[in-house]
Amino acid sequence: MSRYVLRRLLQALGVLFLLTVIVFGIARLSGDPVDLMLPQGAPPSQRQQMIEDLGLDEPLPVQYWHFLSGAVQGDFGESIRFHAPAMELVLDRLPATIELAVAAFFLAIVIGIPLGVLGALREGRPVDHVITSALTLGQATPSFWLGILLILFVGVRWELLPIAGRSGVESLILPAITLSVIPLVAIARLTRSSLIGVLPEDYVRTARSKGLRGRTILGRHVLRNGLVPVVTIAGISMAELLSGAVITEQVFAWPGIGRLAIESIEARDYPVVQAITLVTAVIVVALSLLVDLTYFWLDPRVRTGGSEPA
Amino acid sequence: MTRPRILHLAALASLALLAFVVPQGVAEPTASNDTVVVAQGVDPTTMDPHQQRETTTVNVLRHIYDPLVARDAKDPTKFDGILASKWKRVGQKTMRFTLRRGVTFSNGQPFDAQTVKYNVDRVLGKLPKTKPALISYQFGTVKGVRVVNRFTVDVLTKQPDPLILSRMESLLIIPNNSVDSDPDALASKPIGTGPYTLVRWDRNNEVALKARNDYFRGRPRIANVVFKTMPDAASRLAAIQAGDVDVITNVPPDNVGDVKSSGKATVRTVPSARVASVWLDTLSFKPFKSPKVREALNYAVDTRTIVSKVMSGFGLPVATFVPPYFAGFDRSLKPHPYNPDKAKQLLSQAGFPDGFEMTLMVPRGRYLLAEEIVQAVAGYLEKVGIKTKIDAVEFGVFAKATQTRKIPSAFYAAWGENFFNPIDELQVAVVTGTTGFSWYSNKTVDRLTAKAASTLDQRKQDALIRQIQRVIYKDPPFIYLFAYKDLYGVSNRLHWKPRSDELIDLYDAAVG
Repeated sequence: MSRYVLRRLLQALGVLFLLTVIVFGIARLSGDPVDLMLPQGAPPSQRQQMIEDLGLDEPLPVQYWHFLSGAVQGDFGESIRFHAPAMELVLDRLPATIELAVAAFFLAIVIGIPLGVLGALREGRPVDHVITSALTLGQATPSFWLGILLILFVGVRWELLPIAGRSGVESLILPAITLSVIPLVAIARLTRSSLIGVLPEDYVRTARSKGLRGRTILGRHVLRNGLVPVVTIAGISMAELLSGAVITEQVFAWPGIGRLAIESIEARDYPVVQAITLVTAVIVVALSLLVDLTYFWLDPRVRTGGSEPA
Repeated sequence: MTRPRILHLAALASLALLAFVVPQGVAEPTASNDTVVVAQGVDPTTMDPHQQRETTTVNVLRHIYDPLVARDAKDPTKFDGILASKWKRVGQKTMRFTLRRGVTFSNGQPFDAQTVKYNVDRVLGKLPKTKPALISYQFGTVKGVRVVNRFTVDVLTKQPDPLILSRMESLLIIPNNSVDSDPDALASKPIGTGPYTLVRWDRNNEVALKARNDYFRGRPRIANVVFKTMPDAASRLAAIQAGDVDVITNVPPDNVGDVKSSGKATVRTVPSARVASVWLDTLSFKPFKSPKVREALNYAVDTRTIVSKVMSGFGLPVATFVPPYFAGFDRSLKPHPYNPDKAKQLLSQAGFPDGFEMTLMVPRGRYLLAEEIVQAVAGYLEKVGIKTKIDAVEFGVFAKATQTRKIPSAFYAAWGENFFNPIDELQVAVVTGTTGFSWYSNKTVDRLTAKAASTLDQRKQDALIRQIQRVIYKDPPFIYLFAYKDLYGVSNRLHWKPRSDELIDLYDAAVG
């Protein structure tokens, strides 16, 4: 096991390193911050001064080295637009993103898994059809549209909940609902199809013929085996949610890192773009590592390298 | 693992994390009797007034800091004294300001002539170990400040500068010595003489301000002002309809009815300093070298219909880029009428009877309805045989293209000239030069503009600007479109009038 973990950790480091190269390069592909910070009428001397101040006159490999050596120590430089340490800006917004992601994830799990289970147990019956159709509809609903609808009805017409900003638990509800739809659909669908695969298995039939109660069969045998793939998708969903929900954050004026990312990209605020990308990359890599390890623990086949459970 | 266990685990983990991150009782920022909420698309970039250049940031900072003079809200050609009580020219290159006495910063520091000198020196990069501040580009004509006595200063310019008052308006005054030890001292902890002080800056969420009881012009009537950052236009619209906010900018023209019918807010319009035009590359794109072609383009586009259909009537067609409320407006020049036959005739005369192909670049999401406007323009050009390819790009790409002089044959921009005087725009966009906006060269215009830029007598300057307009009306470097009208959503309870310079100043506003 420790060798496996070590190998995965090394892979993760490799991924992060490659990412620094890509992010550094892509950020510089189009436009530069000086064009955006200074107006057209600015004198060339001021432009030159800013280029030098930002170190943009140095060769790209030198700039990259500055970035990498700082990043290793957690120093991503100062935001060009906000004149504040880039990492500080990202860490400032991270709690808002985590809060929204956790809330949305929670909704996705507590609604998604039961829906999937119900659909699988009633496969082909009206309840299943209703659930499957609702999931398809959910999948096809763009989040900006759902967000605006929630704002218009719940916020403006019925005046039940605040529509924008982050000001207490009630302001979390609408964005969390909006953001939960996509992971919810993914989790529910996978739960359903995975359980449908497990239900006709021999061991389920055996358990039934032993006279076990339906709840015990579901808990002990069906879910235990059927939820393994769901763990993967849940982990990926969580990683996606934590990378910042750009559209949801935009619509609900939620001060998370997704919005900071967009604004920084628009302003070519390289330090912030780099800091955000690396922070989210660390989160994604860490979560996928965690998911793999959970697999290790949940599924004996991964541990033993065998093909069939004993 | 059984189902209940996995679910319990997930639920517990989620709740634990949630408890950890739920905000720590942030105050509710909704509008109330003593609190007015302004929704803006982006967060302020800094609280240091010399290191920023975005209107949304200025809107916040103008409540915390004061300038010496400010443009009159009703008549944008006049100025009111704020930190200065009087001003007059004492020579071609000197403007003398008499300062108000007894003014203090929010930290108790006094305001005096030395403070003004410190500010100008800081902006120009004349303090020890400092570089010119970001706003220094507006002070290219300024040489420095001479302290005459404790409450009198002379602002010295390199050449006679008719726009010196406009420039001084953008200099918001910081306390003496405030950035000596730490150049970023004010970046998040502002200290000004203004009517409000900063209570809280919750980045990318809101800025909360509180009225100063000891403000030298009298305590503002609104006790608290909150600037809320709401990036999505539809959300801002919903917020004003719900009564959650009191002011929103840039109401989309086709949503004016929605705001009015909400019963909670209305829409106020004001002529904007922003003028929409299509810039033409008259230097390297062959067809545009001919003035006849450029004139034809102005006849080919039905600006009135664009204003009425695309802008829902909220725009004012212009003959050049000088609208009626700018210095030097020429009422004898009328917007080019829509006349496609004349356009075709001019194109034939210029040697392009079958038209030509051109590319029109437009920055996405920067100017209200820019892409729609450009599509309409392209449609009209198509009718006279000019095939127009629209290149809609992100603003960063647009900025790079104009800056590096790599534009296609034409681009759309809506220039905002907050000095209400076209001189600066002429210098950047019309005078033969190297800026990325200058794609035209005409010796007469160069000479007249240089003269107008240092003519102090307003009537003489107006006459020069009119002369320039007559030249660029016949030999147009642009397709002249229209002056925008700014649309503000304003809650019914707020007594406040929007200004033409896009500044949101709530000092004189009241609730009730």
